[in-house]
Amino acid sequence: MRDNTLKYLLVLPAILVVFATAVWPLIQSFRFSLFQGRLTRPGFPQGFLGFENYVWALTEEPAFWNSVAVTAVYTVLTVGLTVALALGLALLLVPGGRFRMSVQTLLILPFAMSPALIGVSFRFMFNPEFGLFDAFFGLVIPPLADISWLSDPVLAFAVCVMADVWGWIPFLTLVLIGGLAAIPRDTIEAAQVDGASGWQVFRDVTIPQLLPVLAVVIILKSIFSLKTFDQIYMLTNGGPGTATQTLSHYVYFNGLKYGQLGYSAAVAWLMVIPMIFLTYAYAKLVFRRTQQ
Amino acid sequence: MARILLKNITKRWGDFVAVDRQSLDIKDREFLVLLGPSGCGKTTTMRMIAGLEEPTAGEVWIGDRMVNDDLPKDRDVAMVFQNYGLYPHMSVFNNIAYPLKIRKSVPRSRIPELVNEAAERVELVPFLHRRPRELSGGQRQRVALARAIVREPQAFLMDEPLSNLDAKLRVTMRAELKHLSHELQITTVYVTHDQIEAMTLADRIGVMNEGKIRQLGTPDEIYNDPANIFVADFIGSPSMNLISGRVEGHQFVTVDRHELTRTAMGAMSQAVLGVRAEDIHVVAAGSGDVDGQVYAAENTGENVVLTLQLGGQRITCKEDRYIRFSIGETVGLKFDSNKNYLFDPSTGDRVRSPGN
Repeated sequence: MRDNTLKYLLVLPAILVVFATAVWPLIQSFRFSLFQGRLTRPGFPQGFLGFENYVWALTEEPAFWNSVAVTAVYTVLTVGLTVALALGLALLLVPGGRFRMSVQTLLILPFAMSPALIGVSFRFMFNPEFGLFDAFFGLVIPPLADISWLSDPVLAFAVCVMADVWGWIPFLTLVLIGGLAAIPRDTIEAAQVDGASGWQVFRDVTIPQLLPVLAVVIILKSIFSLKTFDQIYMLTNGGPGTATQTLSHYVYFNGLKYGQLGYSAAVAWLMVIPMIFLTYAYAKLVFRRTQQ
Repeated sequence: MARILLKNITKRWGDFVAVDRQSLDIKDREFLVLLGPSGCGKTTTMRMIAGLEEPTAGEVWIGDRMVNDDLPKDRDVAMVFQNYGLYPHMSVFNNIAYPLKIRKSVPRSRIPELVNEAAERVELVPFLHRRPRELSGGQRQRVALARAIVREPQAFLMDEPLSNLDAKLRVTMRAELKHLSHELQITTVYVTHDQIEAMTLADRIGVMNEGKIRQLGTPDEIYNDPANIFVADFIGSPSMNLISGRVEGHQFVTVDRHELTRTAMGAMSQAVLGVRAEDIHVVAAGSGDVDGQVYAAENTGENVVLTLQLGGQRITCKEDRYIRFSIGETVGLKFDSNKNYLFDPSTGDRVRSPGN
């Protein structure tokens, strides 16, 4: 057997598995998005609609635009806060010192928790009757006692953001520690001797050299924020009302709760658009770095 | 431009002493080289002057200011790093301009002119718009130099600036450095482990070992008047012959009882004789001070380095490049009785006869 034939034979099983578990469902969901596909009616999918499901979402559904807005604000806030805080932590940890290894090990713990579990535990902690946060705020700032965090639209949204930031900081910190450690020390020392203050060294030398890693981190976190589902589902289930209903949650609700499979497939495909841009940017950055 | 003064500076990391109560007075406009093997504390000493390392004890003075508590940016020194320390995301122009921009010591409008002037001095003008990664090692080195000379600092600090260059380029850059330092007349501290760099560039050399300067002097003094075995052994290539034995009646006798040469000292029960390879001459067997067998003959091109077996000792000498020797051949050795040094083997210090 020629080496080439063997080569393709060896990767064939992997290609088949990817096709069966990723490509085929994608094609199917795209097909559904073009039909009226109601699970509650007989004969699924029912009638061919072309792009009517898409047009409907974009023009006739305020709930769709609500979840677009929720997802956008949620993504901007979680990405911004996580990256900023992780960068701060990484800068504190990168000089090393006696406790660095233990802190780094502790940092892994939140990341090791499943998002659904984080959702459940935050829901407990914000419970107005026996929650940890309620007790804490009651003790420190008495006027804030007995606030029902999760039934206020703004506060519930804030809690979702907080839980996500808490869960993601550790991983991003570790990645940024790696990025910071790779910056040649003498460029930083050269800047110090050249006359730069701590802030100027950070602005002129550290950040520009960290930029490739920072870009990867921001894109990666954006992808994860855009597709957030499990944590929201366990923490607020999109509520109160639709105040924390992200796009993924909206897709789930319409597809599996209301049985509008065709419509929710269309919305899912709309979500794919920003994802493709981000994935493309991510792949480009990563491959450029490995080529260098 | 300034004098740099170190008063008993010490640097310790845990139990490890990198620099041990070292004092040093570097004169205004002087080119001082700190020379020594790796780990001898020379770079640490320089980094303490720059402010990149904090002394465990002692004082650092630049000009008439004690700078122990000053940040590197406030010490007004310029440094050239071993790996150049160029900013990879900036063009050559911006690399050189950075210290001017950040210090705001000159009006913004003058920056291009000053950068051009510095670039001209190191022949970098055609490369000003390139990034450091598009330059060769020698060009990067020159960017680092230009960034240092673009302003007029109190002092230059150079940390093995030539050690990453290939041998040929190192020689050219050495000459350029020498010329530049002559033109600029700014106090310079230069760290290297390369004795040729030290000999050629320095006004004075401080030879360091184990955290201390073992001898401080002009290149001439260091080479021709070493103060101890360490300096004698470290300077010179091939290194100085150090032969164990004793002195009896102004005569040096090896441990194998070979009489080698007359010495200034009358008697020493234990002594180490130091003789440079170029101060021993090979003559016909029987006509020198002592006979030996050729152990190896290496032709370096400019001369022949000969290793001779003399009882249990091996002695190297440098001979004219046209003379050929065969291994095992017996030859005579003639010592120059004015050009040898005696050391005390227990302390390693030079032993000088009274009045010498």
